[in-house]
Order: sequence, then C-alpha cells, then structure tokens
Amino acid sequence: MASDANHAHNFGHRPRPVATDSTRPFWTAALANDLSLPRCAKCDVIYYPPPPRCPRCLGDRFDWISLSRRGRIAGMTTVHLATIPGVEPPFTMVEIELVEQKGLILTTLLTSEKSAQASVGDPVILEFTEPDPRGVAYPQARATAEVQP
Amino acid sequence: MATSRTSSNDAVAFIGVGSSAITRASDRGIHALALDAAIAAIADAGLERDDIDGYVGAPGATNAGAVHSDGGDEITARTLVESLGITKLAFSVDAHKGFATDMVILGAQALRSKSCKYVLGVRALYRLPDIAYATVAAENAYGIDQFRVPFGATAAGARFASRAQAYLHRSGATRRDLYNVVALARRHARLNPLAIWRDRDVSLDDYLAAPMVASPLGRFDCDMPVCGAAAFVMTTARNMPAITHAPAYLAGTAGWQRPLEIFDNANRTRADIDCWQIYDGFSLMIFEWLERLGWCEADAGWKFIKDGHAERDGRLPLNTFGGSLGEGRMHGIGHLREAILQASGRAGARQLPKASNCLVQVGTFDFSSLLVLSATP
Ligand SMILES: [Zn+2]
Repeated sequence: MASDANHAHNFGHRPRPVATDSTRPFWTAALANDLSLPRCAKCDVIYYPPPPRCPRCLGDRFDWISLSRRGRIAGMTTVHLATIPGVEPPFTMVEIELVEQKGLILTTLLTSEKSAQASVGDPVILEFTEPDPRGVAYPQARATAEVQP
Repeated sequence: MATSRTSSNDAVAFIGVGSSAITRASDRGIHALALDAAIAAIADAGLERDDIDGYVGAPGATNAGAVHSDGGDEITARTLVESLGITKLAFSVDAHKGFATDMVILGAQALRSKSCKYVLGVRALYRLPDIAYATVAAENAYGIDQFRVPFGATAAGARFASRAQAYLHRSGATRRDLYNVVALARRHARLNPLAIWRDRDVSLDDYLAAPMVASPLGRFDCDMPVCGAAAFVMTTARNMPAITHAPAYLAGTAGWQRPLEIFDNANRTRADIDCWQIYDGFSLMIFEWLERLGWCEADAGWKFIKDGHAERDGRLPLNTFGGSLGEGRMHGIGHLREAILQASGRAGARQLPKASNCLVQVGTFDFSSLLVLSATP
C-alpha cells in the first residue's frame, strides 16, 4: 500500500451509503439510534450486512429486530492514511462481535477518546452519529465498562 | 487433475515466462510494460506470436484509489491482444478480479478442452501518478460497499490489519514476529534482479521506526505498489514446442474453501512439497496460510518463521524470490513466475537444490486459489 497520506481528496465527505430494499431498514432505523438487523424467519440467524437472502436456507423472509447495540472488539486497527474522505486520520476501525450472536460482526469506527488504549476483547456499545447534511447516520463504537449479557 | 485421471499428452506445461522491469514509478505506461512481458514470454516459449491462440488475463487494479482505466491502471485482453498483433485467438478471457493462480486454472481448462493450444497469460500492475493510491475516490458507496467503505474497511489493508491485531492478541506473537517475515522477504529478494527491495535489508530498528500504515502493520508489512508486468505461456505435452529449457508442469489445483485438497489433486503429499510461494500482500498472511495448510498448529505460524524453517536451507523455503514484500506488489504473478522457474530448474542464483514440487497460493484468507507446479507431469 502506498503512503500518500497527504494527498488531496476528491470529495470532502464520507461516501454516502446508497440503500436498496435489502438494506434500507438498517439506515432508516439508524436515524433513530436503533440498530436493526434482519433475522431469517426460518433459521433465526441474524445477518450483517443485511443480505438479499438468507445464505443458509436461501429464503427471503426476514424479521427486522432491534439489537442491544452491545458487543466486544474482535479485531481492530488504527489507520494512519487518509483513506476515507471526510474522516481525518488516524482513525480506529473495529470489528465488533455483537452480543446477540456468536460470529455476528459489524465493522465500524471506534470514537471514544480512549480508543488508543482499547484492545481486542474490550466491551463496546454501538451508537449512531447525528445525521450528516446528506441525512445519513453512521454507526460508531464507544468503549464501555462492561458488556451486559 | 491427478495424473491417474489425465493422459500424459494432456499434461499442462508452462513453457515460457517473461517480465518487464519493476519500478515504483514508470513513465512507460502499463500497456508498454504488459507488451514487454508478453513478448518476452512468447520468445522464451520458442513460439511466434501467431502461435498464440489463447489468452487469460486478470486486469483488475485492486487499490482503493484505482480508476480502472484500460491502458491506465489496467490492461484488458481486448487491448493487449490487438496491440500484440495476435489474430488467431480461439479463446480469451479476463478474470476480472481473479488472481494469477486463477488465470492458470482457466488456461489449463481451455487447453484440456482443446479450445486452443498455446495460452498466453499476462498480469500487469501500475501505480498512476496524480491519484491517492489508497483513498476511496467515490462520493457514494453502493452494494456491499455501503457497509465497508464509509468505515475504511477496503483501503490500506485495514481489514487485514484488524485480523493481524486479533492474531497478535491471541497468539502471543508481536511485531517482532511480523518483522521476521519482512526480513526473510528482503533476504530472499537479494537474489532477485527484478526486486525493488533488492539489496535493501531492513533492520529491526528501521522496521519499528517506519511509519505505521494500519496498526499493527507498518510501511514494510505492506507490499509496495509498483509498475510492472509478468507473463507466461502454457500448452499441453501433446503440443510441446522445441524449447531448449525444461518446462514446468501443472500438477494440480485447489480453491480456498477446500485448500487441503491441493495435495490429493496434485497427487502429492505434504512431504513432497519442496518450496512454496505464498501470497504476502501483508506480512501476517504468511502465518495464516502456514497454519491453514497444516504445516503448523493454529496460531503457531510465527514460530515456524522465527525458527528458520522458511529459509532457503530450511524445511520449507518460502517466497524464494522475495515475495511481494521483497519484489513489489505484483499481486501474485511474481509468485507464479518463481514457481515456474524453480520447478523447471531455471531460477539461476535462486535455484533451490530441490524444487521438484512448488506450491503456489495467491489470494486472501477469504478468496484464493492454489497450485502445485512440478518438474514432472
Ligand atoms: Zn434462513
């Protein structure tokens, strides 16, 4: 990878998610600080990112459920290059395993002031940003004292 | 693909390889570099361009800032074939996001089905001026990217760095163990005239002082983007031209979801493998595949490197051309080139005393393919 950290961006704001019918409920719920994910009506498995069909049974009937927004850091990295327009480096990307289901991983940014001290295994809570000028609320993670089961 | 299921006339052989120069920036464009490699490979195979009747490419530029321009940062079959003056193609395909190993698998299928007799494969990489190589150059994020791009998961190796941090956390390995991979690559690159890091050893202090890219991966844990191309020519034993050098044979292939089948598919055991060329776009990847292919216990791949087993005189010499970390970011075609040269006894100063069976893996933990190249069918 190159280290063109100081190169000018083409755009000054974060790439805007463009939803489809499979993903729109996630972004709509996000505006109310609600983490809503699809659970297969047949298999009871929750998915992220929201898939068009359940990869297990190939059914397309999902129940959108609200999650606790709690999880633990399964993987993390602090990125020192300006890779995301609108996000100043360094920033910390985390892979969060949500408490509701083993292996249910959501990739987001860690925003707590103490993110530099965070480590794999630490508990976090997901929150959503205030909607930006284009009406998008992005998930982000904040380190917390403990995970509620 | 085991020999028991294949008549010897159908054995797929690599009869030519060629490379352009590899540099960190180039005023010669990707189109010129691809032609350099293709012309060299056809000549090495003892063929004329009119003999080429098959083509496989994998043109995709893989960096977040790619503009995907034909002749800019990618080169397509259509453009390259026309500019090579090839007019007798019976088969040509670009594996859009495929790897060099996938190119081989496609070419072998075309040969075995007798679609064509001589397949040219070309892979070219290019670092464009005036773009931010690792910055997502898009205003919107569509499809699966809407859950990845706004969070930086697709650039600067972030998703691999995140895996690396988790690996260090659970395995007890440290950045010094990642350094061991980088230092090994640099040692092996000494013998590769094409390598951008040839004769550029890196000390532990230099490694630790280098700028962080995506923790725990620093600048030297990431392969350096380059401008360059490499090419190969394949045929079957039945159509072997009069070449003055030995060919290398394709013994078997496998996909990443069932990677351990590579041994049965190649009609070889793990103990038969003399060396391997493993994709090392990021240093940690070496540990993952050492473990996954059963040379090490889970989370113990770092010890294998630390204990010297991957050195030229070790149990399993690794990336004997320096890998991507030593040669530059050729996205796996360098790994394939080295396996062809080792298996055919043509690796020059790098030639291992025993290289009858070379394993090649190109790709990531979640998308990859594998080959065994051999001195005999
Ligand atoms: Zn289901």
